[in-house]
Amino acid sequence: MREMTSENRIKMIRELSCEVDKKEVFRHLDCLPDSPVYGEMERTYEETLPEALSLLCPKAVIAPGLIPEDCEISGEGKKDKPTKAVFLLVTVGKEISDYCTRAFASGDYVRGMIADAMADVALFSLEKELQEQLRNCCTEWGWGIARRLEAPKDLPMEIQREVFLQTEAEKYLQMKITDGYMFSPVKTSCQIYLRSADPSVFRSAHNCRGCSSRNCIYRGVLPLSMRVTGNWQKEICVTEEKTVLELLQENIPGLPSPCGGRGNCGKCKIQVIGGALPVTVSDRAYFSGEELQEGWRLACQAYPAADLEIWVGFEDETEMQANESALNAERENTGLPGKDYSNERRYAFAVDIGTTTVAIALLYLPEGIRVMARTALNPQRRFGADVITRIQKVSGGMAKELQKLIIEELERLMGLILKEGQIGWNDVARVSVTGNTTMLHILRGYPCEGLGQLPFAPYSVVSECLSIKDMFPNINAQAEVLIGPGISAFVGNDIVSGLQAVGMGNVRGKRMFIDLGTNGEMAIRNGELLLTASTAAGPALEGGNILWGTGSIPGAVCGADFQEDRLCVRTILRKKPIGICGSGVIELAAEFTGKGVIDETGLLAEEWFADGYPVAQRADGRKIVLTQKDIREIQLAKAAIRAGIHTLLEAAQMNPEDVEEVYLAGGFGHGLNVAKAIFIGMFPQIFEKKVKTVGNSALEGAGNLALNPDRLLDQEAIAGAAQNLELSSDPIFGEMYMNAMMFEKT
Amino acid sequence: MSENGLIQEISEFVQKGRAKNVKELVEQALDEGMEPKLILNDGLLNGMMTIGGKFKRNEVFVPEVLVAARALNTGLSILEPKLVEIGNEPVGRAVVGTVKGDLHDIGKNLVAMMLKGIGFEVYDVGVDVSAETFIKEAEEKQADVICMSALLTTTMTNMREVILELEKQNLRGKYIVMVGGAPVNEAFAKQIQADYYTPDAATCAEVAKQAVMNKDA
Repeated sequence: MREMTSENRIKMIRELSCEVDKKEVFRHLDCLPDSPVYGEMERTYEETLPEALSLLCPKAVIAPGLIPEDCEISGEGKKDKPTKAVFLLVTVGKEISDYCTRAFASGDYVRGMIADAMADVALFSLEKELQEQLRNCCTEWGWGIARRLEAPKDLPMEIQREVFLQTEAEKYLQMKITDGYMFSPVKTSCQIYLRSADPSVFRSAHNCRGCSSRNCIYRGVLPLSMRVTGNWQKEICVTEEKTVLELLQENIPGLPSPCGGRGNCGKCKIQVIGGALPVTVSDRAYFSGEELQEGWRLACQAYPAADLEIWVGFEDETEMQANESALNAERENTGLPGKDYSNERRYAFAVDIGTTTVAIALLYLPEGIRVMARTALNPQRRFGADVITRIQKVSGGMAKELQKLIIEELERLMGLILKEGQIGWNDVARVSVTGNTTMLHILRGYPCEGLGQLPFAPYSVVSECLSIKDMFPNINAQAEVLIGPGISAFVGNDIVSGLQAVGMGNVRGKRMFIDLGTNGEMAIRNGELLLTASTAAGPALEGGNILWGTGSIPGAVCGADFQEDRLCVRTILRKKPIGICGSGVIELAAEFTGKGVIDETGLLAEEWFADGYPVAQRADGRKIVLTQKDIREIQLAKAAIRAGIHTLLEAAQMNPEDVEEVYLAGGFGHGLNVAKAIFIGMFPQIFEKKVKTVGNSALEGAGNLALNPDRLLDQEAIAGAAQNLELSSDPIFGEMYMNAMMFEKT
Repeated sequence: MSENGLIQEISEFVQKGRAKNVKELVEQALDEGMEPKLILNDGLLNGMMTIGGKFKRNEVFVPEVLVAARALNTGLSILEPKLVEIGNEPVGRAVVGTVKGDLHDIGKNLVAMMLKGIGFEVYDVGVDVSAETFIKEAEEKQADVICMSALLTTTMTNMREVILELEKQNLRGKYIVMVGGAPVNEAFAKQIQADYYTPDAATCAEVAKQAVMNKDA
């Protein structure tokens, strides 16, 4: 049968009404109600709306059409005759676009951009009505719709010219088309549907999942399945547009994402076993061609586009037992002696919220001892390893989410401890909480903007006493929550607590305190003088930003020695190696320096430069290596620590030999080898005999406060006396930082 | 208020997008006899540059840039007669347009806006612009930079036509040619021998300024 000429079948649709939804327009403009310019934008929006509405002139045509045989359609194979289709062209007219152009030309950019967004929103608002019209036409013509196509994704752009001609758009819609196959008016949508002979088939919806406009705000996706094997077995139903990492995190609690899903730390590598994941730019930067062939991808950058099976090798770090020993180290009796507890609540919690780790201790007040302790990874970790990334997430509107994560985790951990000890909340007197300034801001729901930018002003670092219900909504008890004072945006109550715990609240002596975490906080005491600073050492000393880096968990490489030419490594709890933790990183750097694997500038010898130095082999056969980039991270971290020490000494008018004791606090659960740290120049040589590792002194200090709330006075005295040095603008620090880059003992 | 304080305030109001305040303060500064050039560079343009930098670092989004640019423009309209009077030279002159066959203009408009905000004299030749028009305008206005935008794979090739035409007329060395738009990338820019590709309007303005300064040096 000969195809009927389409001419007499062109449906012209005039009675279209488009809507301009304000919320949609602002979403288009990337302008949320919390934007500082929202009010300004809103005013212009209201001013522009009446005129814009009067300029919108929606009309459409629907017509049968033929796709020429030389026009290749994705997924349809070669054709030897034209393919039957239905064409739909819809526009909101040219006047609105002209209005935008005029507004921009006159310097009223705001109005121009708003009108442009209004036109887009209006055009999309027609979709539903047009789908109905399309269905009516097809019913009338006795066809179904097999598939919806779009140029240039499914068809070459040239098809737009065919659509233009076959729908007689010039006549019906007063449209034009350029040499580049672009319609005028610009605000036009061209839709092409493949016909089905079966009228009951009507698949006219746009398949967003296959569409490359990933940022399109109208994107929606159909469910598909993702099967996970490897360290977990899981079948995940994918109903939303999310990255593989986000999907995994939702279904497997505690998965790490050190760089916050930016695609540059490589911790979230996965292997595709079934199905396919397109190679992203980050993948290409991260994997070799061979690895890409084998299906390696970064989960944080990958969006599933079809059913998928993946192998997940990275580790669940939720429970870290390794730090326990440090927590149990000292059991000083700091309770209130002689007090009668027969009618009193007998227990208290001390909580330290670290950027990486959360530590909790249960204290028995009558004897002033710690009876139980537990550590876990901070669940916020999946939003990034360092405080800066967290601040960004909070400022980006995720404050509530991050706050909820930590509060629920603390509730969970405290609940576990009480259950284990068969203790009721009615026997708990108080919870003393410490942490760095950012963690406490997030916990309290304080704005974090000031923490992330000059002049780095915290919202509040004063001490607080709250009722437990005000902080933990799911705990029904009468206990109080205590939070001690902090010093600055970077030197928080964790440091104040630590200083109190090691006795640096006392004005006697010349002592130093160094916390080897991401912020690298330190303090120096010279009699009355108490100086603090934060060196921003970076996460390398906690295993962050290191290719195979990991927390202090069983199986983490924590030490290394060359025996002859063979590198022998130790792991935490002698488990099979899975990665490298902070102390391992330092020992490796020291061993490499001693053996000439790296030179004093930190350059890895040619042999290992490209692929990194093999450190150990994992149970899954993959090689753990230390790369040139890892060594640079260590270098930056250790130089920052050393420069910080030097700057504080100068400011306190002291020489390294004047220091009587150096307290080393922080994340090194399995003990830092001080000699090796000195070997790479992290501390002055003379510190070797002065260093005392004090473990988690912040938790210790919080514990002291939990045992005796009067300790708050000691903390207040420390916070009040401390003068904070701003190192980033300190010329001595800057100079020392460069000098301290070398891997050498000084 | 000290001279510096006033200038500083102009910059801050531009950043906040407060057109009315900018207008008042520029008038006040002129009344107080301040150098128009100082008001322009350290006040208006400084404010816009700060916002441009924040935009590039994802600290602010398009709306903040738009209101700032609008405020800058308001200030500029008062300042311009004075600048003409003293014969102030702009940072450079730029011809901006969307290439032949392409009617997209928002991206191009944003580029024009940012170039103006960094101190360029901008000639917007609109959309669907032929090689001849680009070159004619550049020659007439003694431009330093030609900025081309294309949003379609079918039209981006027309960028090459402009460059070929420049070569044909022996004018290629005279202009800094910059390209941008969704389908354009560094590799394409290299292939068609454009001088620069930039991924966004803020970067475009900065690179253009740098390129003109290097050329003059």
